[in-house]
Amino acid sequence: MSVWGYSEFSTLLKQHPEAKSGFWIDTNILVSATYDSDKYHDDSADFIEQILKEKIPIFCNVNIRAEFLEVHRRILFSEAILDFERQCAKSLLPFALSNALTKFRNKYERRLKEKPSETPLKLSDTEIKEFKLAMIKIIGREKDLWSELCDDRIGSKISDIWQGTESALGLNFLTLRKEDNDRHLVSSPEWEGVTDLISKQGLSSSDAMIVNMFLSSKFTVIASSDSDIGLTISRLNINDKHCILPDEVKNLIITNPRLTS
Amino acid sequence: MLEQKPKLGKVGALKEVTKKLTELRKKPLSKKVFEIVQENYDRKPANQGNKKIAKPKSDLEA
Repeated sequence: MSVWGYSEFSTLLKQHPEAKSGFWIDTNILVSATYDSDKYHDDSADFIEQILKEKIPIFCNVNIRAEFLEVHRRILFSEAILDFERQCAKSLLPFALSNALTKFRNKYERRLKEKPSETPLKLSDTEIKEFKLAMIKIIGREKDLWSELCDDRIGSKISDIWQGTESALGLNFLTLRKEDNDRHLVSSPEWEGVTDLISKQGLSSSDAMIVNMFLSSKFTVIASSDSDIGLTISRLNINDKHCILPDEVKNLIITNPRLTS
Repeated sequence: MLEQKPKLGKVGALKEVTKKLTELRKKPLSKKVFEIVQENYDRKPANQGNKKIAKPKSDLEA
């Protein structure tokens, strides 16, 4: 079995004691554990506590840090824009901006109503850029609206969140330095591995880089909350490579044979 | 050379990070945000005869 649920953590460690030397962590579980509106927040935060109690070191790399910052950036901007939409008199705004705000609010509320247990909707990078272009044209005496929103909600706070997470989890960074290669990697991760995962498994490029690093490493387990990561590990079915996920996600993968074939 | 041991995290410390992040997410928008909207609106000549106030809706309704 290559896919496990969080509730099977102790069984996984009993059957694969070598996993205690370190877990490779995916961005998704880091985001779930730090974002309390995420569908899997409680599961992920509790599971990470279990890893820490077992004194298992957690490993990541720059791709994971970059993706973590990107997801939190999208969360912070989405919520700031929703707050702005709720509080600002729209008659003072250009029609296009006012319209875009209303559209996002409606889409957000519709999703909340239709799927109340899911993680709330986030703006995509493209949508954030559209708001940026519209808000940068709203100019006050000293500053434009977008710059103020950035200073107010993002500023240096986003990197503080990462530093806090890094320190709380004692994250160990895996690089391509020789020491890391010798100690933690079976082989240097090759770009072909990433393109293979993108083309054959349909993974996003960031997920493909994370999975490729895991496959090139000596780590036995990747901890995630993302079905796509679990699905990929399950489909690859490589000896001694396991993925541990929220039970609900694991069950979704293993109960659908078409997904794993 | 001695092999460096990997770092370990602190049990319970992640809750503090989540709490700080939640505080940041729930922080009210600064007054300056609405002042900028008002200043931008006031500067436009077409709006001069029909001035409105860019205060948060809750203030207007209160």
